[in-house]
Amino acid sequence: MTEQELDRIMHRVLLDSMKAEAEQAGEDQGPSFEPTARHKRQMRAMLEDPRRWLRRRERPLWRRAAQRAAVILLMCILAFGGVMAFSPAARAGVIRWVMERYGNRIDFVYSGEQNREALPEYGIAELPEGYVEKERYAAPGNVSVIYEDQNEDFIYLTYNYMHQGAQIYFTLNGDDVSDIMVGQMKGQFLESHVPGNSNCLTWIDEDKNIQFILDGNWGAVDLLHMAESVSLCKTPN
Amino acid sequence: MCALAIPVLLTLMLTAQAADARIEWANPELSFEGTTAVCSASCRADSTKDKIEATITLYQGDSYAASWSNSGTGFVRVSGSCDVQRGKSYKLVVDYSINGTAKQPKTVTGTCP
Repeated sequence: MTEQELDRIMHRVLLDSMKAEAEQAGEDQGPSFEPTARHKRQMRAMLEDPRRWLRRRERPLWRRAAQRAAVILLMCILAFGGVMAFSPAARAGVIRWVMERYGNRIDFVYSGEQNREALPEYGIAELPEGYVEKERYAAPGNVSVIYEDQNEDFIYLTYNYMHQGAQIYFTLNGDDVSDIMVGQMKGQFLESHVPGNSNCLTWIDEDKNIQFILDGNWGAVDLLHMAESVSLCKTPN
Repeated sequence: MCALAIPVLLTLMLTAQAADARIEWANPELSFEGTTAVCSASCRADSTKDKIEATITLYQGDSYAASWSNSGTGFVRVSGSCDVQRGKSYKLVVDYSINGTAKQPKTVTGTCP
């Protein structure tokens, strides 16, 4: 008999003895020992697979806590993923828009149910001197306002709901793009390198779910000043 | 002679590149009001002197449904509406050109609820 075979027999004898002891404890009439449910569970687990039981016993507390936290996190992710996959409303509530940039293009891609409400009327409150509103075009989900001065220079304000069925595509061809804040709202400033051509400022009002584009032959400071003055002229009925 | 030609050529190339450098944008939208598709798009070039020609075309799947065109300088807006069928998917394609140069078409899609 080899040493390993002897080890195995001893291991078996020890386990059988523990099993018998555990069974006897259950049948014992004396009040000295009443095994708890946890104790019984532990004994059962140990008798089924002693090595595994020992490994689990020796695992440090932090590791057990981390494992539990990971399980809870995984359950939350699965639940969240399920809601996002099957509920368009939930998905739209979380991800309304994505800005994709590749090469000379910036695409703003929207998702979410179409907003049936009429867009409010926004306008530039602080226009440069001499400019007046010339035209206002309105479609269900987007509006364009054209301002003109006496020299036939224009400022364009366009805004639209960020929802499915609409998108904005910018083509840059070498123009600079920089991140900018319009008040508390994130935006981008697109600067033309051609003297005399328009620069463009776009920003997103996530609370109202609206993207704005403002462009005209003005520098960043002036366009930003105008953008920050964009406000409601009239709310829809 | 060659020493003079190279800088001139480089200058011409850079000028051509600068003339082409522009910001453009387009914002097509396809929405539905009952069984009516409401289609619109604005197209903008960064110079008010640029001539823009735009056409929006509505397709049901790959079949032509309707189209509308408009032109302007610096900015153009084109819109239209037509009857559609509930439950069908539609695609709105914006084809536009600036000073005669065709731009990459832009597409949005939607399904009539």
